[in-house]
Amino acid sequence: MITFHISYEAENQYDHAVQEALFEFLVVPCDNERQKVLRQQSSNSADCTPFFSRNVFGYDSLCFRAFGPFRQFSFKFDCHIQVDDKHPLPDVSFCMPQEEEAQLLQSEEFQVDHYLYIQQTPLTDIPLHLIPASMRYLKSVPLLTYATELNSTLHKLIKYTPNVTTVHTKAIEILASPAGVCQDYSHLMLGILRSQHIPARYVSGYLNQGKQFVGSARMHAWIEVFIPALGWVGLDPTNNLFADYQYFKVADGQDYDDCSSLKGFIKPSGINCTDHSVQVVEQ
Amino acid sequence: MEQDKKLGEMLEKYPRNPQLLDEVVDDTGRIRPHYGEVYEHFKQLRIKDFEDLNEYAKRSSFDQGITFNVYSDKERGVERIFPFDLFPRIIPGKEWDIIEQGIIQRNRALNFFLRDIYNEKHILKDKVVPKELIFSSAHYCKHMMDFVPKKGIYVHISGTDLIKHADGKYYVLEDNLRCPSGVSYVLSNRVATKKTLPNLFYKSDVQPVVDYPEVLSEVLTSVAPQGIDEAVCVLLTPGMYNSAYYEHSFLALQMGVQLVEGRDLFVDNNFVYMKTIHGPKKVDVIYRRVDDDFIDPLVFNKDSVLGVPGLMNVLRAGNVNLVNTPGTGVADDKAVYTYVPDIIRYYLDEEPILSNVDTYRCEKDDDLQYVLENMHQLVVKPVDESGGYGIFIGNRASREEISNFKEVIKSQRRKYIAQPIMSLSVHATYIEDSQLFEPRHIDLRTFSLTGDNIEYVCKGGLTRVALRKGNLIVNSSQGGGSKDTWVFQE
Amino acid sequence: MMLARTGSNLFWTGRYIERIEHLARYINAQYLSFADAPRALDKNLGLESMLSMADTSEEFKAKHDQYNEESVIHFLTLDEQNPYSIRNYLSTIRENARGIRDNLSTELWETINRFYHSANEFTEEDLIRKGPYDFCKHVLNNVNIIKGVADNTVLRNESWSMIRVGINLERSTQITQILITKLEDISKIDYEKLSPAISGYHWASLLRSAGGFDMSRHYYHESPNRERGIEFLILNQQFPKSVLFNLKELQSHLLNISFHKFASPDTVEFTTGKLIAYMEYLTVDDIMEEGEIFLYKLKEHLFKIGDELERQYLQY
Repeated sequence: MITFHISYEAENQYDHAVQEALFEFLVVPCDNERQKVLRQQSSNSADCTPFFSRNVFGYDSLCFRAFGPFRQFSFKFDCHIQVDDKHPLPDVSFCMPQEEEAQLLQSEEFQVDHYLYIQQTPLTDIPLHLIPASMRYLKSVPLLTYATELNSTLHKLIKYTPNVTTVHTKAIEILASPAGVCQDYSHLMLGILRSQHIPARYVSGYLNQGKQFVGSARMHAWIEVFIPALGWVGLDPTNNLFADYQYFKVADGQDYDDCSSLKGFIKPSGINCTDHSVQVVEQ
Repeated sequence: MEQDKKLGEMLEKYPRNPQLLDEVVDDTGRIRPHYGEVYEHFKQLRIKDFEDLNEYAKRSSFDQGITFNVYSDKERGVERIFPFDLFPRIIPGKEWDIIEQGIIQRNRALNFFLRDIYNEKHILKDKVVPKELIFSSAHYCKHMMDFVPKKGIYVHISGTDLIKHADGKYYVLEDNLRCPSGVSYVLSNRVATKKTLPNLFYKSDVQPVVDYPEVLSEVLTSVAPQGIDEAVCVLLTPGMYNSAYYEHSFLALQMGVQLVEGRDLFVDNNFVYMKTIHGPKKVDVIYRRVDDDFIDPLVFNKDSVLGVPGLMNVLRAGNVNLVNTPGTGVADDKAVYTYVPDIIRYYLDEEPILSNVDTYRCEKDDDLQYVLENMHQLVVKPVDESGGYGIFIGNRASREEISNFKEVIKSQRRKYIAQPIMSLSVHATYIEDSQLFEPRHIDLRTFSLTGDNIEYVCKGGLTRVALRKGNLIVNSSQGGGSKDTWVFQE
Repeated sequence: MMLARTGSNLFWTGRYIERIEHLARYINAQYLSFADAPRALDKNLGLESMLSMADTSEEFKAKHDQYNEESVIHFLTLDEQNPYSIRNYLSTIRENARGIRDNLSTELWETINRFYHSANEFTEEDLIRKGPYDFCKHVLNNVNIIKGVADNTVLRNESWSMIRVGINLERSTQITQILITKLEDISKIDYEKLSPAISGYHWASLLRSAGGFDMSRHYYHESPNRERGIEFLILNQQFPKSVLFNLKELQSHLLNISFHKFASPDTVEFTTGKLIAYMEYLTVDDIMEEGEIFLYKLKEHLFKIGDELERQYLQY
């Protein structure tokens, strides 16, 4: 077991005086079989008391109802999280026999149960005919193997380039012009998997940067693909890795929009500028 | 003397069309028994009196400000009074019983259906309804998944549109499960009739409609979150510039609930509150007349100022209830409509009491073929438009129009369904231009309510009249009129 | 269970109804006084005074380079481009009333609606030809009708109290402003030329503008002067337009709204009570010692009351 300290800070500047606002911060790591939050705390510039609100995917946001007038809002969150560094990585030997796996994937029941993560969204949608043959799932290998290879293929294909894309950039644009950051790698991988009716979801969370990983001092995005017999398996195409104990999951969803770290509604409406920063330190 | 001329003379000249089923007159030309007294009464009115009464009834609507915006006029949103015809439409008690049972059955089945497709999805796994149809619907709301609202009720208020076909049977034209409107006309038409024909009205044993707001109020209270003794209910309106605002404020007043706009509400602590002069007051049930897409800018259309940010999460936490819940539109989609008889059989193990109109779905290959071969005798409708817009009527179209429309259908097959041109029944209606009673096509919009142990259908409804001769489309936003609808106690 | 937005609408309906009454009366009184004015007075002062009363001198100067009777009067009454003209205030009153129709009686709504439509029939030509008298009289009559209908038909509940609070606060503010304006007018006159006749003329004109000339004569049995004018309009507890009278009425309506909650120091009830207590034992000599500063401070107190009221009850 290893403990990490995670801190997240956001600062919003507004071009006008805000009278009233509702903020939802999706930044608290979730509890699951591999990670557990030991203690957490938050503070904000408007001195309001937070409440928790659960979304349809089952994840809790830290919410604030703030009264103005104010022109800036800042928020700090930090926690200690304990992770199981001995948690085994996905292993092909635990997978189902291929034929059984392929049949299950195609069954109506499976497709209905997982439709939420099979259905494309505007950010991830890629028509099947646009996907190069080299990236397609040929049912001759186990799904886990295919997914791992795809992870690696996309890692090599896309050049990590900040500031050429935005949170509205679509997977289909990345396929045409492979450059971007972690959410773009993730959207593209999701688009490719889903066009072949394989359930996959977008994950947001924190990455222990260390010195050898690529990312920024921000939250990180990766994906989880559903492998029969194994469950949801995390893969990070940005760094060509399994999402192991160095990855601290916050939430998942269909795409970036379901997982953005901050959602807000301000009155009167207007332009805002947000600055985030993240720090992860092993204890 | 001219002034003493009786209405009877005018009624005798009624140009009955033997090809159409007439509500008032049977096929031998005799007045149907349930219209007997009304007909006698109208016959001996002086024409002048009748015209005065008509004016009086119109003024009654005007004074109450019952207007709405019509959208196809060249000036955007012209305010019009919904024309009202004094001669009531009458439904004998036994006919009504079938309608009522049929509607209740349909609502029950549709609520089970919604619960299923947002949770276990058995009906999809059993392939009774194709999953693509549901998941591809723009109204399937993913935020309603894995959640069951209070008492499993999604559609508390529904408006089922019926027609009577030449075979004398009632058919369901469509279900309206999102924000059905028009009940204020039902209530005000009844007020107008009582004022103008008091003697006749009280002689006939007409079932009341005036209990609708009270029952609706009970429905709201019955679906309040757990553990609330005195539920605080509000009616959420987009505001006074919305075309149905009159109905919102009318209902709020009748029901004794506070009328609010999005800006009067806020979410805090995972509850919904309204801003009163004495501070925030918790809200338990919201009767919302704001469309799904606008009710929560954090989850749906983020530019909407009509809704309440954070509302969906509070709904799912069980701390507030919405009437109707979001996501009901997937079941009133015209393509899903064709599966409703199967839906009734699947959940209730019963045969449908009310029939659907035969419907062909253009996305199905064999249906498409039938449609293309028989366009000249079909009505083709887009599944996602309301108000009677975008409808193509085969027997009115030229060869070129038919051929063009075939291409339109082929390019967007999922968007279109087709139905045989139904021969809607007609009803004697006073036409001002000709100063005669003439037969006009009618339909019936009913209003029903579902709550905890409450299954209610308003006894009557809105009989809508297509005021242009031969016109089949009777929707209010296209300039139709209405009649008070009487259901006799039997 | 009144929505804050409804309360705000009712409050501002009351304020604006009162405001246009004062504006109309002041314009009329000033216009009529042009005929009586001793030669020493400049008509322009009168026009400046009207603008100052309406608190729109800056806005007028931004659009026109000189004062002229037609343009000032049109600006204040019918000008659609001036958001503070009587016409536009009336528009706002009607819009507000439409949004809160359920809290008003049907007759009250219809009265407001009719007033709005009839006022719209006045044109710029009417003003030029006949002066502002007809229009202003029309406004004064209709405001009286509205107040009478409201008096007769609206339930004495929170809705009623909210409207009255608006009226009381606005009236206090307007009277204070009239006094400030008048003192400014007087101060513009050369002290040497300020004979008792001219001073008396000003105070008579002021009392007429406030609709209190007759009543003050009735009360004092003497012609008006500065002390009597100030005392009557600020401290008199029987005259319905005096500031103190209105503050006390405002206080009783606040009690109606707030369910007699105990007033802590940061509430509008406290601020109002404190001001009333201070003024109840004030004499006109105390006021004269402070001079104009008293009026400016009073104006500030009234703004504070309005602010606190909005913050406490009418935020949405």
